[in-house]
Amino acid sequence: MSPLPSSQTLSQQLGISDVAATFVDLVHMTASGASTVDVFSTLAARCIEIIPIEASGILLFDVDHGLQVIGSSSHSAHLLDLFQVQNDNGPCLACCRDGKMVSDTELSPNGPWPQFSALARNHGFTAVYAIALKAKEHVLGALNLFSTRELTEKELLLAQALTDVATIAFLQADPDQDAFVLARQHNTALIARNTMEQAKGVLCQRYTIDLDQAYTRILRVASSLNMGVVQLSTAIVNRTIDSDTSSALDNAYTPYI
Amino acid sequence: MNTDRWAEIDSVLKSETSTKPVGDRIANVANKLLEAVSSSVTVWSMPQFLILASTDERALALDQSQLVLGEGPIYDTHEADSPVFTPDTHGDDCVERWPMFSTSLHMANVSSLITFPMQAGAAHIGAISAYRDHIGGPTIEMYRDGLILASLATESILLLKAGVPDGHAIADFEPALRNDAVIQQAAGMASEQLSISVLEAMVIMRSRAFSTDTTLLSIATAIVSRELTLEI
Repeated sequence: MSPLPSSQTLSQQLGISDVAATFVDLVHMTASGASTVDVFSTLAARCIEIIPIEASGILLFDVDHGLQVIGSSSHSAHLLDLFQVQNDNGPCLACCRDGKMVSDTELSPNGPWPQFSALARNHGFTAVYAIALKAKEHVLGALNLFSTRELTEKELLLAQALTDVATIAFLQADPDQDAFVLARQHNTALIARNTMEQAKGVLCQRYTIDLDQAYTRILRVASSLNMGVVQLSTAIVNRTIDSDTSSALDNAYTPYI
Repeated sequence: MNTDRWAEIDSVLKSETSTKPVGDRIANVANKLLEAVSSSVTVWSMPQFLILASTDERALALDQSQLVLGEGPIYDTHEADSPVFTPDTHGDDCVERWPMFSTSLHMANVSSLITFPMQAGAAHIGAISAYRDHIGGPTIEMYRDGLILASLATESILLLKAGVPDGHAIADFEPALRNDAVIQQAAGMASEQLSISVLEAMVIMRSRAFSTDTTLLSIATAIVSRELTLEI
């Protein structure tokens, strides 16, 4: 499929609603050869807009069945995901283990993950949901939703549907893909994730902004110039960006989060 | 995190006649894990690579041949940011892909090859090449082992560049830390501070951790929280 002719996404050109738009864009990204990290970053960003919720993050199993934080809508979501991985405890871990949705709307100190609950509350969240990314019975990872209110059943169904679309994108539309291709995908996703973290570091230093703002700036500039997030990150790290991209980065509006 | 296989390969790498230089140990382990007859370790010195170690003359000659011809799996694995497999060097795709280098492979009696990139995010460190005398691709276990070995080797080469003595630990468990976002963010910040590449920043961070007898993670955390500015 040819790349989009303008800086608008396909759904913008078609003028369709938010939910349909997200489906269209996730599928179109995949068909256009966008990377896994791009697809999941888009999923994380769109979830917070259309459900709506405060923050989201994505974890994937890596080559040796360790979980890795691949995409997140904000730095606090990233920290909460990382905390679960490093402490081997939390709703997302439980979801990845059992392949079933996990919700915790109490975040109680007497619950199954008291330390995580305390941390989530410190970041202002009151409810956490984890939805499995599944190909048949094989759990690939999970989407985490961080909220300040209890989500409705309808909202959770929407989140599940979005997750399914992103999973198909990850599998490149083939749920029977062999372990080989999956291992390769996981590895590529991890390299891309690390590249994005490096790019965030570069921008943090260059513009004296925080990691959240750097991430937002990368997302915005990539979207306005119709570039992949990973492609832009690689160019930032390797200092191979052209003058247009450079001025877009310089002038990107970065609200304080 | 399941770190069993990481720890196993790490200990094989460390026990592999520990008096040998790190490059030779990586090449030897690759030769065993990937069922190869000759293996090598190359490091990028853009736009070319340097041959750090090889298990024998054949691997050395094949790497040199790629350098001279300017084509081959070492270049391709860098381009693709992913492993390159050639299950049959006499296959059409191999001959089409490397019209000249495929002849070198045939002359060296290499039937299949596996090449893994060594990289950390956007930083390309080098490649591990395994040349095999039988037709076929790697098994999934072999593939996973190769990725783990490439990660461990990447860290070893960064430590080597940083002048950290062999066997000196600057992290509790390096492969676990390799994926820590803070370390990647710090490398990006340090590269911008010092106007150097991310790869050079990674080396300097390790060197600093060693010289101040602290961990890589604490150096990275201090950089990200703007408590530490590195100097060259």
